[in-house]
Amino acid sequence: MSVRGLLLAAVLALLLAPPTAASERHPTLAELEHEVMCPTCHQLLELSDAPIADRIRAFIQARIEAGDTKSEIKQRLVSEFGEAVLAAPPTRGFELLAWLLPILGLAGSGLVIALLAWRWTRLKPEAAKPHLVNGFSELDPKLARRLDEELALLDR
Amino acid sequence: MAFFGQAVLLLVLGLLGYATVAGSYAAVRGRRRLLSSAVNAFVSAFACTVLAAGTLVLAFVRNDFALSYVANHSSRQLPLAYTLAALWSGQEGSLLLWLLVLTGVGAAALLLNRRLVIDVLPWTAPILGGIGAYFAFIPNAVASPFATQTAPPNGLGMNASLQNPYMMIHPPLLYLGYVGLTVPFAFAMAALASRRVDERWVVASRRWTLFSWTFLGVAILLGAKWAYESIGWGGYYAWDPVENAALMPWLAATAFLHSVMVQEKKKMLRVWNVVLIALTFSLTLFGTFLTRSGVINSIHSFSQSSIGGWFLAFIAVVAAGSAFLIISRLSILRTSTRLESLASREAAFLYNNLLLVAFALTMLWGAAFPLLSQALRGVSISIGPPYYNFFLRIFGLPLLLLMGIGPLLAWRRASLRSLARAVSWPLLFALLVGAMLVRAGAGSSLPGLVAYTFSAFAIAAVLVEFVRGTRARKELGDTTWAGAFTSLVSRNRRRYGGYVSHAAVVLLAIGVVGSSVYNSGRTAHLQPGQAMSVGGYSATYLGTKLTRSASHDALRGQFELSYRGKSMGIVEAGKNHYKVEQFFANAVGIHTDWLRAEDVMLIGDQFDKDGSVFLKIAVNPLIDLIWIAGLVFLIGSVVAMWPDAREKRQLARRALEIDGRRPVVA
Amino acid sequence: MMVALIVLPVILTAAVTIAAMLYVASPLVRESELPRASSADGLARRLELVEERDRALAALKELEFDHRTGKVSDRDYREQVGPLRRRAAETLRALEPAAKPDRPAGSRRATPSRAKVRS
Repeated sequence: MSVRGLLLAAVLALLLAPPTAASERHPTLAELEHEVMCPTCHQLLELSDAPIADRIRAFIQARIEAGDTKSEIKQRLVSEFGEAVLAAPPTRGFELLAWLLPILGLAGSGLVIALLAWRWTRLKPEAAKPHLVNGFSELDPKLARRLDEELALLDR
Repeated sequence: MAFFGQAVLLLVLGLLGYATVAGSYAAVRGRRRLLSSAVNAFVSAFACTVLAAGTLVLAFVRNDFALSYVANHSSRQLPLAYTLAALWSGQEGSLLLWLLVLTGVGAAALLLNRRLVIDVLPWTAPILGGIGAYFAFIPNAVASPFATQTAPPNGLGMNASLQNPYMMIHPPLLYLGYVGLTVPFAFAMAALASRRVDERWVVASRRWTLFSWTFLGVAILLGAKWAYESIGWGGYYAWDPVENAALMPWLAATAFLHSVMVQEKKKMLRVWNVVLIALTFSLTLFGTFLTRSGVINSIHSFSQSSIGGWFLAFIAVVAAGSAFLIISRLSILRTSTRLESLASREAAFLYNNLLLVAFALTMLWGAAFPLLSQALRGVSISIGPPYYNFFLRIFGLPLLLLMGIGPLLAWRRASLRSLARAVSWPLLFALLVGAMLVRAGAGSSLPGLVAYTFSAFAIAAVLVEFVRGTRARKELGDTTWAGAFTSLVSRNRRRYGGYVSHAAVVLLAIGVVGSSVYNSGRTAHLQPGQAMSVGGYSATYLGTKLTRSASHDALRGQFELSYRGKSMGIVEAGKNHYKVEQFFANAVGIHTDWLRAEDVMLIGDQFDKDGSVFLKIAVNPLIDLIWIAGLVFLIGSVVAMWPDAREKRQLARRALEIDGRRPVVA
Repeated sequence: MMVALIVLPVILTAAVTIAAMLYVASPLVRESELPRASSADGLARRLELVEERDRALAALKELEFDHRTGKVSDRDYREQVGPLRRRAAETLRALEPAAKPDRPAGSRRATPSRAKVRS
């Protein structure tokens, strides 16, 4: 039950990645400031007031005014300032590994755990117990009394 | 003064070296007196580190610029409060603080658990001693805080962004948590080395993990508040490598605190738990390595230094050592594991461990990947907030859901029927909240909506647990509801303290989602008398004023703030100019509406000569829940950590039963 | 004055060093070398049993409480209580005199025989 819920949630989360379609054609500076980094100070553009950050901002503003789409702007930024200008690596080529490894790792170890857990549930406990609807009858009465005493002791 | 400090520091190294060597010999040969002496050596190493740190603080107070470290991090103009904290404002000093905390926490652990350490886990002392010796070696040989020079007339001053009250409290608490995680590691490894893998090390490790985890969590939140109030961009966590370095071990420790319960209740996961402890400790070391060595550049990192190689070597030794110990003790650790059902509390802990560890390792991967790219392809790339935010959704949302389901599941087995019964109320509540949110327009962000629905589910689960538990206790004989409630909590502090921590995480999630998904803000250029508005708030620029003090000039723009036409008073935002350091720092203005847990933040981006200002206003809804979450988290931890008379009695009885003497763990 | 500035740190250092050494050496002189019984490995098995007993008892206790709060349904409770009680009883029996000949069984603890908790 909860496994299914978990999977459902993971799938849901995957589907809910940042809504890109709407802002693709008309990007804003504020939006790009969250997705672009100042390559020398390793901070989001939004946080940085280094001279190069101001240059990047001016560059983006000019491209927005020229009517570029978001991916066009990003492409130009990369060729101008290097790949480190993108705050998250692109999802292709070598950089795809950055995204894929955690997901594959999670899926792989999830599978291993699921298999292990399944195997652990198959392990039967000490001998099958045919008529154990109520276990009291099986116990030696003296032992049962000691057990109840022990339990009462725990309650103090 | 420098001589005394240096000499005492050398003595610390000697004492810790002795604790390691004598302790190891004593552990191998079973010499109790020698082991006791090794413990005393560790304790006196702490006393001597206090003297060394005290010497450095005194040098700061006396402006003794003959010490390079003092000259580089202080000045005659620095206020006294900051000179006291200047000890940890640079690389060498913070390594000394590290040593101080390590010997302090280690000495406390050795003394409080003395019987356990001497009689059951003799390897604890030499392992702590060895780790301590490494951290004493660095300030002695590689980065000495007591290096001298010809005294300049004035120091260079303190990094202006550190001149903030949080600077006094955040680093020591952070170190207490971060470095404190060494203790559970030492107990775990000592248990393996001493071949005593019964529950005694688990109890000690679990207690010290809880202690460190609490301080680490509180410190991370304090750091977030510091960033929020002083850096002035409207955020509080930037997924910076240094911030992540603290979060990674916290997540791993969270996983351990859950999975250790499975071991205590069912004797399962014994191998996994020692792996998890070793991983947690290694993550603290690796995070430090990444940020201290100049390998990764971050706004927090200290300047380039030569300690990288030493750190890497130490990490290799720790990793290899713990891997060897774990593998060589596999035969005594392994138990036959049986899981009654996939829908049980312990199974939920398995999933939770998977997600927590996966998230921690993803952060590690994110920190390491740019290095990999640089090394393999020569291309430098960035891994920043969008990457981590993506994975926060992937791992965080299921965790949030699991946090609601877990408490409702019984140990061993929950049949579908009882599960459905347990889940019904929280589910109903969550769906109701979700529907209300959709009506209120929260559907603008689907992840936000999902997070809130899950949060509602999790908080309802906690409430249901408290209500049902209290009712059951009342039926069992408590006369009043309050009495039943206290009796419920005191009978299982760890469980109910844990639930309070769950409530804290839910508050945190609500705050994080609210402030990052539903926030608004903009920047405008204002002349005196002009106004701008954002989300119902309006700020009128009144003018500026300048205040001068010895250390800095404070320029403040004054803004009259109003919400829907109602005046909220004057808010000041501006900049500080630190004279000695030649540095400008933002001083943001924050107006908090506690009723709605919402902040309006005013940031004076740029003040022009003609009296005009570029003002940025950010409205952060629900952000104050994050700080409240910190408080709730602390309460939950205190409840869970509070000495448990029942557990103490039980451990005492066990000790009595096996050797007829006084308890070893208590 | 100059002499004091040079000599004082040296004296201080020496004092601290001596104090630390005395403290470190003190257990070598004062404590006894007798190993405690609990360090004997023969008791490891017994400790394991004691821990097993406490785990089993705690599990029973928890099951009862969960049943009372409604987290565990009547059917689940009936199904689980038997095996758990049997396991707990087994550990109790394993810990009885045979495993510990030096002490009579009853004298270990005075067990007040109070209300039964069979709910």
